[in-house]
Amino acid sequence: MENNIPYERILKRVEKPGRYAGGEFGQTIKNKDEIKARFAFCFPDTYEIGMSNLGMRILYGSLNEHKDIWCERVFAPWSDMDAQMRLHNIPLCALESGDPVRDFDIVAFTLQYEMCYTTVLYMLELAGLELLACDREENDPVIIGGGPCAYNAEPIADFFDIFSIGEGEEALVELTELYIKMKEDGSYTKSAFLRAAAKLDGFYVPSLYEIGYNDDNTIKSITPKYDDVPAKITKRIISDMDKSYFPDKFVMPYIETVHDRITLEVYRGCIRGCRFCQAGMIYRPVREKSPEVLSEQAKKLYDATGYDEISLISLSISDYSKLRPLCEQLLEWTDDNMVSLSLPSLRADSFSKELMEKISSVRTSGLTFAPEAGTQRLRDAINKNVTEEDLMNACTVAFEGGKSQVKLYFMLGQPTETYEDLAGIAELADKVVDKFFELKREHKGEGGFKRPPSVTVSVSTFIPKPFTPFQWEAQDELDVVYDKQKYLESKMNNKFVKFHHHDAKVSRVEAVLARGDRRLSRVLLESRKLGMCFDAWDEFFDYSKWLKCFEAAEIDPAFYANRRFGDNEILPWDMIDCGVTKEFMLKENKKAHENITTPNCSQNCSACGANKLGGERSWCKRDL
Amino acid sequence: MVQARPVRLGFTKTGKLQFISHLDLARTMSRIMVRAGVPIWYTEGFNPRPKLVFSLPLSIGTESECEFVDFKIVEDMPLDEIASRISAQFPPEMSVTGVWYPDHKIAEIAWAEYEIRINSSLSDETLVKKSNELLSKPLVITKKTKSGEKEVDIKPLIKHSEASLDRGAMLVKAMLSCDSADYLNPEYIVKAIASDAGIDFEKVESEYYTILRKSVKLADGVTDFR
Repeated sequence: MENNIPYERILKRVEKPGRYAGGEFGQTIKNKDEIKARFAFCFPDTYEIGMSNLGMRILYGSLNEHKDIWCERVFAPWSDMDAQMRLHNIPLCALESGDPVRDFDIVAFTLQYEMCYTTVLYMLELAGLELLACDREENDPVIIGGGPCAYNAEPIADFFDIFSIGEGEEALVELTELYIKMKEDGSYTKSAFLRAAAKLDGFYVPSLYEIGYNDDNTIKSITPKYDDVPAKITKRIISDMDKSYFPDKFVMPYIETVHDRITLEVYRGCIRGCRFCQAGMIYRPVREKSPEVLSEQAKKLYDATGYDEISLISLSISDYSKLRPLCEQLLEWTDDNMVSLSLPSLRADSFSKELMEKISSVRTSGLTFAPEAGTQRLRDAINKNVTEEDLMNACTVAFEGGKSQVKLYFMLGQPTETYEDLAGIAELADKVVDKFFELKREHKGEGGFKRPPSVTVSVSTFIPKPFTPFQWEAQDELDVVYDKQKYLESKMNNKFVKFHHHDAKVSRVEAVLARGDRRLSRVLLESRKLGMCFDAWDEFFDYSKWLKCFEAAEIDPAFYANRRFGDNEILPWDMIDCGVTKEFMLKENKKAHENITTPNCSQNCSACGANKLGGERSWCKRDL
Repeated sequence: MVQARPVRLGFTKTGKLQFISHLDLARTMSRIMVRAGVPIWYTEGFNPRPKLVFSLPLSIGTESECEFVDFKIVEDMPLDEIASRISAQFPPEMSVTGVWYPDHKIAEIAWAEYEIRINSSLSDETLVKKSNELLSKPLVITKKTKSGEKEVDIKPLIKHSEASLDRGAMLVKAMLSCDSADYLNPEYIVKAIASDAGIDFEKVESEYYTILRKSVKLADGVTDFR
């Protein structure tokens, strides 16, 4: 980039120039003449967010392990940098080489949340690429998408050539190898490559499917255009987590990022099966790593990074069956090296005194739990399987251990919710405060309990997500959500309880995009015309602009967000198989309406279907 | 245990690293020390960290060939081994200029020498003459301080200065005070010259400047800080 562009002049004119400087320790630089495919890994958000993402760290490393592939990083420039780039006619470039993204072979976007879609289009435009796949030229890069949102990529299907479904560390290498092979043997044309890619496991090529619609706007059919294109795409998984690639070094950011520490992935999947949770379904089956492998990986990363904190990453860390041996093995060397452990994703029902002591070196004064609902009835309906007693026990441990702050996460608008359930949220928060004072009296004269308790209740809005038992459910209309928020606010009268709720409008747009079909590409095209991007950021999100986009595209958001989808309706994402069957999810949906819980995977196999994916499974050992 | 022994590391911070703030550099440096396995002394207390003392924090957008950081080692290690271990852990654009037992105290630092390069369509002999005149007389500027803005004559804070033409740009070599009480940011020199000559760096895209710190001196203005 420096060759002909006044780089230094530009960086002197933007905020946080460290976002764009590159040159970090641990980055991968390869000789362009010695590689066969250039891969641009794009994170559609800022540098600070993207550099914190463990998936990106894993995929960057696994692709660069391959001698023929050079994977580089690309982040979304903030608006001030955007203005400078447009002024100087600088296209979007990769950090390592400074070369324009449009000159790469494969350009991949990780799709972590729906609200990043406008940023994806913004980055394509900055790269100088046509937004619609059908408008791009033969020599333009192949644009691929992956990550959780790829499970229903229909709203952005028209902008992408290929989606990678499931875990990518092996799949992306295979896809790139296919690209190299076809380029080398002369068989490459973009259309031939896409046809061949569709035959690899775990790749969805949207242009090879025809979608038919009924008069009522529901989907009539999803049909492959050719006989050799699979009707169903089954997600990819890593079979043996102990043997799978895990980076032994990280790119070390200079500027502070959101998670600036060692992130150690302990296991994939979740045994719980909360009925609103997409991650709990799409990452099944549960595959754990062994404490020995984890401790060794952590030590290597410590030596290679110099970080002073290790965060144990998983969907619910206390469900890891070998947590005690892992902590013991880690503590053998972390304490002496002044490295602290942090355990995010704690569940209230398994937060013990022992666990708390292991993480006593963590630099927080508070703990966070997510009861998700205010009454046992609703917690049963959503299959959260946490009781009030669990929460009180967890808070007792926390308070007796010297903590004074507790954060509680809830979700408003879940299926079957009543005003009684909402009142239950306030009551639960009050009980936590009461618990604090009860314990303070019990421990009188022992010191401690000096600071007043602080309970923060944070309430988000339920969003029905694909591949969950609640995928068919309607989201509450905005005015209903507002009424519920107001009611909840009126119940929050405890001076030790703080109450926050998320912006319901963001959740509504997210619901539309989450359950949208291919016709929503029109909405996103409109969003680019209005210059929208960074919609995951409060300062950028503008609901009125979204309404304009829906109107211009003649799309009714309520059809996607506020409608209960039919049990037998063809869902926009029905061409994808995540392992867990639709039958299982429908059964779970019915059980929710009867307030019946389902045991977790460690208690009993409920035959969700994910075992058919194989792999070294930790729980569902039943035969295929 | 050997008594903790003070060590000084000299390094450069040029190129893109000029965009890394002092705080970010400090965090980066402490991770470099950990990776290098230098037996460094940690701060005591709740959050033990490698104890590092930087002598002259650099503003964002200023490059330097002479940065220093002091630390203590708690075990004997040859200086050249410390240097090579740290060097191996430096990011591509940073380099070690030396590792030594300090000769001077940080408080002895009095002056720093800078090369300020002004790239402007107005960078000609006339500007050179004007700038040399400007810097030779009392020069009152508005300085931002913690308690607000105040008018200061910065002439006493300039030990010497000389403008000349160099490859199409105006090069100003200046030795400025970096006494902790009277620190003069070289940006003020740029501002004074620009406002005197009517150069607008904010608005005109082709006008820009660079600042490079060349050396750090003691009170005599001659002896290098070591």
